Order: sequence, then structure tokens, then C-alpha cells
Amino acid sequence: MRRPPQAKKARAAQHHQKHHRNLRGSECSAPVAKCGMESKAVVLRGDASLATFINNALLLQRKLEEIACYVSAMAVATMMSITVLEVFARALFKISVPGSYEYVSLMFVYLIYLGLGFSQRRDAQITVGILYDQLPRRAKRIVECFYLVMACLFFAAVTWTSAASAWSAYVMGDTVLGIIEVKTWWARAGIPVGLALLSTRFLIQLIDLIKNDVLLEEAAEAEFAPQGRAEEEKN
Amino acid sequence: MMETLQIPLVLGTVALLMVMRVPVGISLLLSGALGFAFIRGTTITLDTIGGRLFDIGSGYALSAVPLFLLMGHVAAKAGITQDIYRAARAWLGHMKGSVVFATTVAAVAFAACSGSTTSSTAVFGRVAIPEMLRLNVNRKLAAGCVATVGTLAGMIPPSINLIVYGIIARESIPKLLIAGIIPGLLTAFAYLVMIYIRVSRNPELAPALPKASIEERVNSLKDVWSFLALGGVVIGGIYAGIITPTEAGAIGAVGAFLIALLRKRLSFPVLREVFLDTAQTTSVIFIILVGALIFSSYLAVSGASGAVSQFILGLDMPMMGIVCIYVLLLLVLGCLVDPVSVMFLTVPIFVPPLIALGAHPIWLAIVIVKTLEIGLITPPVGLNAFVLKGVVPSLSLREIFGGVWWFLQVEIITLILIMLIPAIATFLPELAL
Repeated sequence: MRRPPQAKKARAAQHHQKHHRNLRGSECSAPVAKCGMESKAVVLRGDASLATFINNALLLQRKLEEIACYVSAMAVATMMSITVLEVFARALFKISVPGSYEYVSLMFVYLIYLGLGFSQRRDAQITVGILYDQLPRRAKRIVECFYLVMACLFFAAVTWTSAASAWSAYVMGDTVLGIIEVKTWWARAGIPVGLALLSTRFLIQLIDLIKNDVLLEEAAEAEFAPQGRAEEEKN
Repeated sequence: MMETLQIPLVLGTVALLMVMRVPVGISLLLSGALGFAFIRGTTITLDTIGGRLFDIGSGYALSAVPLFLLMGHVAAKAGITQDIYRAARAWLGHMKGSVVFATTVAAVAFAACSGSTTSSTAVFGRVAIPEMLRLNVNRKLAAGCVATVGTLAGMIPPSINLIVYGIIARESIPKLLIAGIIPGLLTAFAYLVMIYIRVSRNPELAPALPKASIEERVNSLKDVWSFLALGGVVIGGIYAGIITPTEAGAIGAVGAFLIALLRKRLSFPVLREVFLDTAQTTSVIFIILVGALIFSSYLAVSGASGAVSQFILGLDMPMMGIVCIYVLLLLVLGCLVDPVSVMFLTVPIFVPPLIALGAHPIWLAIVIVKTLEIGLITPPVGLNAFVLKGVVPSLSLREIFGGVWWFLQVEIITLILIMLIPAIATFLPELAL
């Protein structure tokens, strides 16, 4: 069935306890946001420093995803301000704000790509999954594994090529021609950043699935559950 | 051998990935890349996609979408929905149809501030359903009403689907937005007639409320007039051709912020949530757009799009017959996949030959978007029903789809009316712009 983000969010709280009872045999007492792999990293036995390193890397990924999302939110605020300024300048002084059209167009790139890692973490993408829903858990695991491997490799490769494209635009001094010339590299640079966060998120989800048997929707339910959100707010 | 099998293989891959719960945008992107890899090789494909992501993602006209999303999110988070709903209830609650009437009218008003069908359904699910159930409205009628009236936001400007359509089909976005006004209002009117008839036959479906006093009615308008005026300015500005849709979105968002701020409805956490929600929703919608663009480029390069277009032109059928076939295809696809990707996949194939056969571009756009909106409530997988189930878990899908069925019949009648009388869609844009 199609699962819109709102549906996932609302179901999260009631499913959380059940889900974690199933996974661990007893109710989860850890903060929800750290269930799944993000808590398993802490309990890796034998090598405490490796566990700490993985834990820190996971926290860093979470923070970077959130920062990217904030940058994206700031981009929409800036686009709004520039456009309103342009309308008022035109209406009151019969002038156009130089570069407003170009900056708004370029900033839109951030809005598309920078929020991808965060959306994937929350499993907020629009899915169909009619056949997937009918599969037994084992088959679901195999399907998700295949998807995550393919997506991780593809987006890692496109991260590289889009970074190369951004670098080339920087070196060549690529510009958008309008009333003024606006360089494009800073907008292009947002694409590899967003895609890198997305492919890393796929990798984390893949490891989580293989090591801890946590399906994507289950990880997202933990993400949305009130306890996890409270923890997130506190951080 | 591989060349013959290439297109079916790519189409099979995209279908398989989607039914296996791979996100729609990523399914389209991966399959499109696979198709290009068959034609151009892996290295060139990856290089091309890496470069094209920027061209797809930078665009002024598309920037209207996040700005209208922002305006809708501010209106929803600042509690405007509740105010609109309260006012509609005060004015219409005593009539036959009671709060169901009020919900429909409030949804029309909210649609002028929001372009997203799912957002509109989600906010009305939270506000209207508890109230309707408390007032003993029939559960099916309440659920069906809210799941369906959300689709009005997809037709009444600022409609995000119409903006996206304008970009795909290279049609004038202001004209499309204006064209959505009469079909949207006509649909809402048809809902009201259906509710009135049903409740007249069985008043227990929606018991009428006591008539609100004049003072209560006037007071209820205090909280909503400014937002309605803002919606009017946004639509009026586009209608008069004074501002572009992107500018209208920005003015709408700033206006919504100012009104919410003056009413002391904005706190820092609300502000943070509004911007983050907008950022997240935009990336969710636009990754589909990116995937669909790559996929439709593959269809064009492989020759599949051209072959289907030629086939359509070669059919010995009148234009209306082909439109009917297209509408049926959209109904099936629209209840399975989201409107944006369906538009990207089918519009470049079907629309040019239909226009060549004499279809009015604006009329065709409204028919397509209207059909896709119907797909959003069509059982068994209509997206809006699942959105409503998500925000009101106590409602069963059987109840929601049971109630939707009444509205679905009205929707089909309205669609047929729009198909038979193109002036419903074309009158305003031809008059205004």
C-alpha cells in the first residue's frame, strides 16, 4: 500500500513498543532514537574504541543530515525574502533587484537535494509497495537488502559525478546570465553534499538491516515515536 | 536481441521496484539510469546524470511550489484551519448537512491558502473528524467528506499539481492556475448538493446544530478574514497578471507569517517546524520529479515516447475517444502512483498528439489533473484515504472508502461535465489573460 509520511508518523507511536518487543524479546528501554543500529554500536563487544568511533560517526551523520535540512529551510526563507523584495522594488520604485531571479532559481537546488538524507532516515519518501506488503519478513529483508545495495552504489557514483560537475563549474567559472552574472558552483555543490548524505544513510540502513534485522519502516517508526522525538528535541 | 528487450526490461524494472516499496522517485531514477546505461554505457550515463541533476533542480517557475507549500504549512500550523472551520460551522451548522457542509466550505477556503492535497486532508482530518464524530455525524460520511474535500486543494489555486503540469507541458502556469477556479468550485458545489440530498433523505447522517447567534457568526469572521483576503490577493494577483506564481507564493508565505505573528500564533518551535516541514516535503516531491524527468528522457531517447505518440496520431479515432482512453489510464495509474510521476510519464507522450488533434491545452490540463485527483481517493489504494487513516487511526479503511464512494460518484459526474463542457475550464483564463 502507499504509505504517505503522515500515515507513517501517526502509526509510529502505537507500533513502537510492539516492534521493539519483537526485535529484542523484551520491551525497549533505550531512547527510541537510538534503537536499531545506533544503539547496537554502543554494545559491540570486544572493541570499545571501535564502538565509540562508530557511535560518533552515526551521531555525526544524524547531525549533518539535520544541518543540511536546516540549510535547506534557510534557502526557502531566503527565496521568499528575495522574491518579496523584488515585488516591492518593482511596485514602488520600478526597479528590479539584480540577480533575484537567478539566486532564487539556484537556491532551489538546495531544497531538492539537501533534505534527502533526512527524508530517507524518516522513511518519508512516497512508496507503493503493494507486493512488498504481502511478503514474509525474510523475503522483505532480502528485497530491502537488494534495494539498499543498489541505491547506495548508484547514489555514491552520482555523488562522485555531480561533485566532478560542480568542481568543473567552479574551475570554468560557470555563470547564469541575467542582469548580473551569478556563479553556479555554490548551488551545484549542494547536490553532491545531499547525495553523499543520502548514500551514507542507505549504507547505515543496510548495515542496520543485516546486523540487527531492522526493516526501514521499523527504523522510521522508532524515529517518529514520541520518546525518540523528545530525545531528539533535548539534543 | 538486447535492443528489443531493452524497453520492456526497463519498464518491468520500474514496476517491480515500485511494488517492492522502493520509493517512487528512486525507482524511476534507477530504472531510467539502467535504460540509459543500455544505450550509452554506464560511465557516460553516470556522468550525464551527475550533470543533469543541476539543470533539473534549478528553475524559477518550480520555485513557486515550495513557497506555496510554506504558505500552506504556516496556515495549518498557526491554527488557521481551526478558525476557518469554526467560522464555517457558525454560518452553516444549522443547515441540512450541518458540519459536513461546513467542512466542505472550510476546505474550499483553506484550498486558497494551500496547494497540497495531502496536507489539506491531514489538517482537516485532525480538525474536522473529531468534531464531526462528537456531533454524531455518520462515520462513513465524515471520513469520506474529509478524504475527498482535501483534493480541492489540488484544483483550486495555488495548485501544486497544476504548476508541475505547466512545467511539463510548457503551458502558461498563471492560465492553468486560474483555470482551476471554476472546476474546483463546481466540484465543491456538487459535493454540497450530494450531501444535501443524502442528509435530506436521512437526517441522522448529520444532525443539524442549533443556529448560531449573529454575534457569534460575526465574531467567527474576525479570525479568518485576513487569511481569506490573503488567498484573494494571491489568486487575484496571478489573475490580473501583476505577479508571477513564484512571486504570489512568496507574498502568500510572507503574508501568512505576518498574520500568524500578529495573532501571536508563531513561536520559535512552530517556525522551525514550518520551515523543516517545507524543506522535507519539497525534497520528497522533487526527488520524484527528478526521477520522472530522467525516466521520461530515457523513454524519449529510446524512441518509446515517439512511437506511442505516432501510434496515437495514427489511430482512426476522434480526439475525444483518445482523451477517454487516456483518462481511464490515468484513473488506473493515479490510484497506484502519485500524480507528479504519472504526469511526467504520460503527459509528454499523450498531450502533444492530443493537442495536434485539436484538444484545448488548458481544458486538457484540467481534465488530467482532475482525473489524477480522483485517483487519490479511488479504492483500494487511494493515497488520501491512507493519509486520513494515518491522522485518525480510529477510522477503518472500510469506513473511509465506504464514505469516499458517495463522493467518488460526484467526482466522476463532475469530470464528465468538464470533459463535455470545456468552457468550465477555459472561460476564466480566456477572459483574464
